[in-house]
Amino acid sequence: MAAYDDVADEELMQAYQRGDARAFESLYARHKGALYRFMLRSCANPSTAEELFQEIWVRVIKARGGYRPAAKFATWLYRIASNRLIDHYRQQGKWDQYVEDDRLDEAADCVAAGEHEQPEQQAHSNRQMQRLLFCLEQLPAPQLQTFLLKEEAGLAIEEIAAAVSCDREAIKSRMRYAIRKLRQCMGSLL
Amino acid sequence: MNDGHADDDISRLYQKSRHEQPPMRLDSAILSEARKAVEKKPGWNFARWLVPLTSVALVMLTATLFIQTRKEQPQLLAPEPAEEMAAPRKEQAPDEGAAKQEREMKDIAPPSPKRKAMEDVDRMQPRANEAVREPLKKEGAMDASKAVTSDDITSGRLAAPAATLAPAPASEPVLQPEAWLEQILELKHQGRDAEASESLEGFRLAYPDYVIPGELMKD
Repeated sequence: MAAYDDVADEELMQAYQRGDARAFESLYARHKGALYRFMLRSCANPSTAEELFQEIWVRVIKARGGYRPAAKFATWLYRIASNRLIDHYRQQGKWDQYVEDDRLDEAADCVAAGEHEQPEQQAHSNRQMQRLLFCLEQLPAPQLQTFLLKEEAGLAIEEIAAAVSCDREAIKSRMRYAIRKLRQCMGSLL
Repeated sequence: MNDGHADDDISRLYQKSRHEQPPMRLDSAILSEARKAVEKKPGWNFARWLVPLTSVALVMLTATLFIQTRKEQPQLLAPEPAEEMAAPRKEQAPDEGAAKQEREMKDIAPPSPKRKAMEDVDRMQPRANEAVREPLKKEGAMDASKAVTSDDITSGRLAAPAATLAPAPASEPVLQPEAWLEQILELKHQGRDAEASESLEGFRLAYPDYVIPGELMKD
């Protein structure tokens, strides 16, 4: 695997297109953790997250012929992931909720701040993390998705916009509201 | 927070929580799938190799028969070494005396049974050779008829055979994504929701990174 350490994702994907299975192994090793956490945080049920995670990689494998290096690999991967997630919401009958959540960005200013606040004495880093994960669960799906694409996939605003097929301003807005809600939810633990 | 980027402290805190990894069984399943996908040798299609292998087998068979026939020929002539020796001498060094003697012997003496056999073999040889060449010619013709030129491919004349011989990607959908989505939309408009939904699933599998219009996402 060391031979591929300095090779860009896009080149690895091209190598895999040509039949180099080791290139895929390297690509998978680079992105598996982030994508797994992205799915884990986006789905309420861990076993659903695992199932979707596997499906997404299988789709990557099957769609390898359609990949063009003009697109950043991570953007392409997370576009597949976002599409799968949206399909999942749709199958669960949660698509309308997803759209509604997006519309309510402006109105729903915060998750009731302080409602779940922990005592200041418990401001331990472990607690902080647990609290942050809890706060993430409270975020509307579009905002959570935006936040995770930035933090897990390391995508820039433009790349997130490309991955979720949204315009740049909408992504900036989602991110702004996500951060505001997280701060409010974290309260004194931050 | 500027330009929509996460607050530094939230970001730092989140980065500390990034420790979950997919279970090993998922790793194994996905990597195995990835290997399997590229291990498939598209060329190893029995139908594709049937014609060349048959051709080789036919050539081998005819060659063996040909060699066998040639081997049997000297055995028939073996008891008359003098005659065999005479022929090359005739070509290499024209000896008028010997040639004359031979001509006389030919004219006077009736052909021996063995010589007759040799002549029969000589007479039959062209026919045997023809018999050997005929299947080869046919085979060649068959190869030529099977040869796929770029013109054939671009003109679509060989579309059906190419599809049968082509590797996995050939089975991928022919429809362009826009046309496919229009079909799905049409199905939805006709109230055939189940079919539309099924077709959408297929579309997702074929074009996982394609953005589906919101109109189609409504249940």
